[in-house]
Amino acid sequence: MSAHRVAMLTLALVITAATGLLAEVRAASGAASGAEPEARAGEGRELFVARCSSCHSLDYMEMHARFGTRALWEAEVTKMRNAYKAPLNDEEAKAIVEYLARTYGPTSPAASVSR
Amino acid sequence: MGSSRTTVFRAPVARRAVLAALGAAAVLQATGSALARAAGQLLEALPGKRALRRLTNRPPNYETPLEYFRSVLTPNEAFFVRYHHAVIPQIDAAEFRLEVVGAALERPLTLTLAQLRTEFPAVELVAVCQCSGNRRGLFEPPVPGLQWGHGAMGNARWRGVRLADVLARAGLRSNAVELAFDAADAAPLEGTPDYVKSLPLGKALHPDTLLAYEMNGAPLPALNGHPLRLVVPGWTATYWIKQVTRIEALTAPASGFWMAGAYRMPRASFPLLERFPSQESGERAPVTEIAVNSLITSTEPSAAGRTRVRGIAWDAGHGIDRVEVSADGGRTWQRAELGEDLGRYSFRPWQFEYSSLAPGALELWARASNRAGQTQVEQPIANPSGYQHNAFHRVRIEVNS
Ligand code: HEC
Repeated sequence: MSAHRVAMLTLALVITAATGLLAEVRAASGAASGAEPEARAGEGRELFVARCSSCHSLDYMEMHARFGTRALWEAEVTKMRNAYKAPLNDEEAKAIVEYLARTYGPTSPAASVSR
Repeated sequence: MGSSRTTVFRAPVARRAVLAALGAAAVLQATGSALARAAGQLLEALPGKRALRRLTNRPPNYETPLEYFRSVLTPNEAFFVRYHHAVIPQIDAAEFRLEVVGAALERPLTLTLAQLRTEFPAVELVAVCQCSGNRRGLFEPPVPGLQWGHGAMGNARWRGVRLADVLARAGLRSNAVELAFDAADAAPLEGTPDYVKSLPLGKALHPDTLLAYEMNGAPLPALNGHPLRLVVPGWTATYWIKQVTRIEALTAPASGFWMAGAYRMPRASFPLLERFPSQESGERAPVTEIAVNSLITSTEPSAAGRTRVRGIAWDAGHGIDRVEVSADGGRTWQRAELGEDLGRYSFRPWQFEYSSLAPGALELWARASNRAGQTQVEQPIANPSGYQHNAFHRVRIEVNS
């Protein structure tokens, strides 16, 4: 895939006019398609949604909750930054690990799962 | 791909249901709760697809429900879907261009789909396309990554042209080391490594390695690589680049994230016959060939008191030598009858009929062996990324009195 295409898409994110690009903008910025799981309730949820849903749906986190230990979430957040270049600073990474360890773990209350 | 129409993939949901049982045969249940947890609980139909088990919606990762493996060829509409990145263009076949470039080529080329169809001999073969991480969700202890059940695979009749023929026209130079393949998809944010995979020369030039434009007699489905994908029989799906738009002949090993940083396994644990030496480093080697494997697809009462067990077996193309079943936890094994042979890379159907099984609950096991002397393992071989799960398939059945 050409860098040109990616650049165009990133640009599209800041264009809000109702053009043909709008569908792309929405999907790329993570707005709900109706079928995506919502973030679990908990302190730090907004930051998590802002930093962790631009590249993929939150299915990826739901799928790991059954073995979502703090160590797993630390490793995943580090991987997202190093391997996939997820834009977040150290402080945000720490806060997101806290939130995930609390809310996406094997003993987290299932009632907070919203599908 | 400036000339193609591009859209970001979104998954409109046509149907949604909570899956109660594994397939139509209510008697067939996975051992323990591993499978129920592992596979997607939601069945959703993507555009052009039947209801598949959803793992993730964006990018789309959907697995094939077990009942479709009761036919040797997996229907296109039920074929699994696997993407790493969420920006998935729709490519008009008429506007499609394949670029063949690189420092190790005499004559760089640009080919249209029509040229591929008319200027090169067409080749057809049946081959299993299986994700390296198929059954990852069954590993205990669990490992991170898509939590697939049994359905991140499919078997199809592929039609296309030999990659070797295309490379011959471009004139591969003697300094070529690997061939790299780029797909048209992209990550939503800049900076995420593009999905590019490479092959060693031997595999790229193998006469069975194809650039395919048809699957089971129809154009490739949008979500399986329309209009052109790489088909690498015997090797796992990580190399089967969908929507391949660029082939580069490299004079040094590919070093991008998806080669150097992913799809690797501890070399010592896996006795691979086909290796990828230019990508081996230290302890880790790239995943290459598909491990010998089998699946029980149905059990049903046949004649009075008898129970018929059916399934499929496959490997990297060495050929299935035998499939054995056990109803007593592996103490004794019976040899199943092998069915139709659609070629060495295909699923091979098999069946066995038990004449007398004691009424009540019991576990059935299946294990396949290939002509290279490899057999499925009793316990999956642990590895950090959960690849190559090929433990015996075990199902619990209820025999009626
Ligand atoms: C810049 C893009 C990007 C961002 C932002 C991002 N991810 Fe990912 N993530 C990826 C990619 C690419 C994958 C691999 C997808 C695949 O293979 O299907 C992935 C996969 C995952 C997985 C599956 C396990 C694995 O390692 O493959 C988890 C869990 C995950 N991400 C969590 C997160 C969390 C938590 C955040 C927020 C801190 C986040 N992601 C933000 C790109 C991103």
